[in-house]
Amino acid sequence: MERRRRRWGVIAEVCLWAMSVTILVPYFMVLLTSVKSSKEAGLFRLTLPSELHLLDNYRVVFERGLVVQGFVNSIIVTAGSVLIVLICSALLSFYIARTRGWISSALYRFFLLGMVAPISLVTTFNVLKALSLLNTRTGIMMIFAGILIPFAMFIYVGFIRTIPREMDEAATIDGCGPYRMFAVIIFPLMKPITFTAAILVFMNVWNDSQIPLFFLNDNRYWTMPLNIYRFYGYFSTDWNYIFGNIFLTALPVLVIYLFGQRFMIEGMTSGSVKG
Amino acid sequence: MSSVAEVKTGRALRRRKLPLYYPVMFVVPAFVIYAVFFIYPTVLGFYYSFTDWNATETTIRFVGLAQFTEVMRNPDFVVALKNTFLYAAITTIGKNVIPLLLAVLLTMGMRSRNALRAVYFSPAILNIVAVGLIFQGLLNPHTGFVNNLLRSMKLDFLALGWIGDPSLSIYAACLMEIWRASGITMAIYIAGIQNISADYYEAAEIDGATAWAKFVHVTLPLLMPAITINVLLSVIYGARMFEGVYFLTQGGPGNSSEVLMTLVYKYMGQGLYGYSTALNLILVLLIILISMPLLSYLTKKEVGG
Amino acid sequence: MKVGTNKLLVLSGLVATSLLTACTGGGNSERSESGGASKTLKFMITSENYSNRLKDFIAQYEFSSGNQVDVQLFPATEYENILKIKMLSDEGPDLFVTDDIAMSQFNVPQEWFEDLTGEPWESRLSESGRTMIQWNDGRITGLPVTNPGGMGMLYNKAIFAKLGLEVPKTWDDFLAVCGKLRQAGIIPVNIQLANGSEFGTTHMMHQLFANAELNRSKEADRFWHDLNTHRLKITEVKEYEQALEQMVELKEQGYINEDFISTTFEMSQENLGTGRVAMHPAGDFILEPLLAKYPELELGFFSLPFGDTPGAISLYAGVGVSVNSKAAHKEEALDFIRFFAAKEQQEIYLQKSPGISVFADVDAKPNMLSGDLQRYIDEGKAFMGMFGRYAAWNDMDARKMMQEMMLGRKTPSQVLTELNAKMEIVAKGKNLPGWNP
Repeated sequence: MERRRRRWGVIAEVCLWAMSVTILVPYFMVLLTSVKSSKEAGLFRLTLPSELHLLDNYRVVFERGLVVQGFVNSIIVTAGSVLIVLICSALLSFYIARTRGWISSALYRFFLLGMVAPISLVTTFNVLKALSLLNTRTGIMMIFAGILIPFAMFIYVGFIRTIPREMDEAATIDGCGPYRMFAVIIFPLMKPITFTAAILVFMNVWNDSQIPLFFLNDNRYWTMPLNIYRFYGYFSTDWNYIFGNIFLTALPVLVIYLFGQRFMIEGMTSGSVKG
Repeated sequence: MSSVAEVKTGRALRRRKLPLYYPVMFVVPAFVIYAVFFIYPTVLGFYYSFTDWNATETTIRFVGLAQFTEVMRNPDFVVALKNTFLYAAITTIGKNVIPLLLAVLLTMGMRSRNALRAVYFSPAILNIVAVGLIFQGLLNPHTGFVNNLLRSMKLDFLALGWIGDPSLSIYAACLMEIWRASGITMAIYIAGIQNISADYYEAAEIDGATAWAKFVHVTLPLLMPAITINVLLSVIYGARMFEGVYFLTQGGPGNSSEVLMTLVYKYMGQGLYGYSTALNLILVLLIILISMPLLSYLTKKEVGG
Repeated sequence: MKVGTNKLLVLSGLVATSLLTACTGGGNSERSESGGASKTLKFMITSENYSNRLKDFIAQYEFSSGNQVDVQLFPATEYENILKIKMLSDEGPDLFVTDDIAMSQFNVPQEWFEDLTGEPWESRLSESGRTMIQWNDGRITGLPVTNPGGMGMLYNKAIFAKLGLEVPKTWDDFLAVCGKLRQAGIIPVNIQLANGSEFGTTHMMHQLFANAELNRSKEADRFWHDLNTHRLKITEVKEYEQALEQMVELKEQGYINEDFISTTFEMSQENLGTGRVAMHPAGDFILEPLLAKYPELELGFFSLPFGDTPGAISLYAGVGVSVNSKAAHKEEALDFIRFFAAKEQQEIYLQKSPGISVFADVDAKPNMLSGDLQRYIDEGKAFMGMFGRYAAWNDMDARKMMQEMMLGRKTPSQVLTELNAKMEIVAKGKNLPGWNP
């Protein structure tokens, strides 16, 4: 019985690796294109480069593409957004999950609606302008927060419902006010789901190239994904540098995912999607 | 902690207990940010769909439902509507059926399981604009990698027009999104499956259930919460999709792959702001119309399961 | 609950502020300081048009004026949206570009542009130069940063010479030339219709459409007026349908590249440069990148014949730099333009990228096609493209229609009907006079 199960396991493994070619080949294309000459890169063939331009290309990407500057901007904006979304959503979801009555279900639905509508560019621009947050990274963080809090809330609420109320009561009996109760007792229990939510927010913000483009007017504040636009040139589009930048932009997320994967699965396993 | 609590509970019954309440203050930070930076501009945007706001005039007049009637008469609107439905439906199916199967496989015992999970999740970490550019290079009918490969394997008949064929362009866009986002739904399914206690499976084994029966009677019902999240988010996200279509085909060739969001963007670009926000509002109403019943249907299944 | 009350106050304050200020649409532009302090001008331009010669010119300006220029680059696809959003909120730059100068009168709000008529350099404009860059109402609002030029058929002189081919004067002649080219194994005409590169084909369309104006010579102004006020529709102009039918005929005869739906701007250059195709509809804007890659190439320029006539070419005004009417540093911005317009600067500028100048007194270095182009202008066979004269024209829609047409999904008359319907949407949305029933 066990041997049969193991045999199926091996067959599945082989099949999965075979299928993964559909995922790996495009990556390979990105990597190959990033080390070709500009003219060859524009042809998009999966051929080996006639000359390897590895160091030259990446040096240009770093210099012309301002990778370091983009990286710093991305980190600031992403970390800030993650922090804001997590704190706000955790508090919000705790309230919604614990409170009964029409207010909390109305709130839940109110925030849920936020997942449905896309943002309205011009009006949002005016709001940022009115608050003097135009062209600031803070302004961007607020926009991301406004968009992502509903999603984070959606995940949090389900999870919090699995934390028994007795925990809260126990905490108050110990003499905690509600704030301390939340900070000291409840929030640590939410670590797994917090981690999951953090990764999802991180990925969304890090990779977004529309919001910073429209609201961060200054080229100096551009985040990493936007740097590909620095390679749309007068004579032609330099696809080799563009793909080089794409690769570099994906690298930090890949690293975080590889290391955080364990925690993420753990987090999701610990009850976020429990029936 | 719990044992301490138990001891203290006893003592507490004799002591004055701090009231347990959940302060409304918890809600305020999220509410302020959400209301100011999202709800307010979005609703204001909707207001403009009842005006003739456009880029060339400085006065804005209220025109009632005129923009909506204009939208309905636009030949591209019907195409975009159809494409939006198609896109949402196909990507939802693609992003849920295949990943479910993948999740089942990737929760079996195998040595390179973690590596495989990472590989299948990885497309989701790429910037969607980047994926669009990559797929342009892959699916170009004449110079793209996919067709070149097929031709070299003498499979010319499979070398379709992809992004260059108006009858296929929207499906090419669906394919790209399924490729890109399956990893996310898969990860959620994996988490859901890992949550299912082994006891259920053992009980089913004892009853003599086959693998298929186990899947249908144990896995699926207990996965309903995950299915709800995934299906709902897939539908909403699919209907709202902009970058995934625009950066692959720009809505072309012709208007064959226009979806509602690309139309919104197009008319915003042409300076017809009132018109564009009317389109936007129609899209939002459509999404609400579809997702609310869907959500209640799925949650009902959840409770039953 | 002191913290709570404070937060509530902040919340209501925020909401109130944003309601008030967002509705009134915003702030006052800064007053520019008087005196000799160095100012920073904001210059918004697309990355695709930020050429080296422009960079050099800006450096020159900074050196001679002591001011700084903060160049803000954006990709062409997003440029106009971002510019619109900024201008709408009074956050616009001092200087900005539009593509192209003549088209800008319809595409973006006219209030953005500072009227440059009456500037000291205006009198130096040549007659043809002025016709190219002026708006329908005669206003001058910008100067070209990319050379103005004409759209015609570029042809490979070496290939023509080798096969003993002459520039065709009638459509039948043209088809015969194509036949001979195809026999020799060369693709006669290059069609560029990849998503995002469709302008390669509208360039052919525009030069054929120019025949409508050619045929109406004296009545041209009347013609445009009728079109602009919707008294005449594009479906009723028979030259337009004939033009599109000629284009479809090329495809049906097999005289174009089969992979046109994948052909991008870069690929067109490759096709032309390697001699894979003999002719490509374009303007002299293609010369600089093309000759950089294929320096040995020798090209000529002729108008695509229309029926029994040699046809006409269509002009474009080039990407122009304009001054924001609400610029924070308007005087300095106007000075920038005056410096740019100076004879010396223009000559340096055109030295680096040869072409025609809009100024009468500027000795412009001609490029490979300038001679042919000038001839058409002098003979009165050159007319501003539709995008610069027709208020309801939507080039993006036309480009998409070209794809549909060449793929065989729509006939020329269907294309014109649908284009007309789309233009009605835009025209009504902009409340153009005469379009709203």
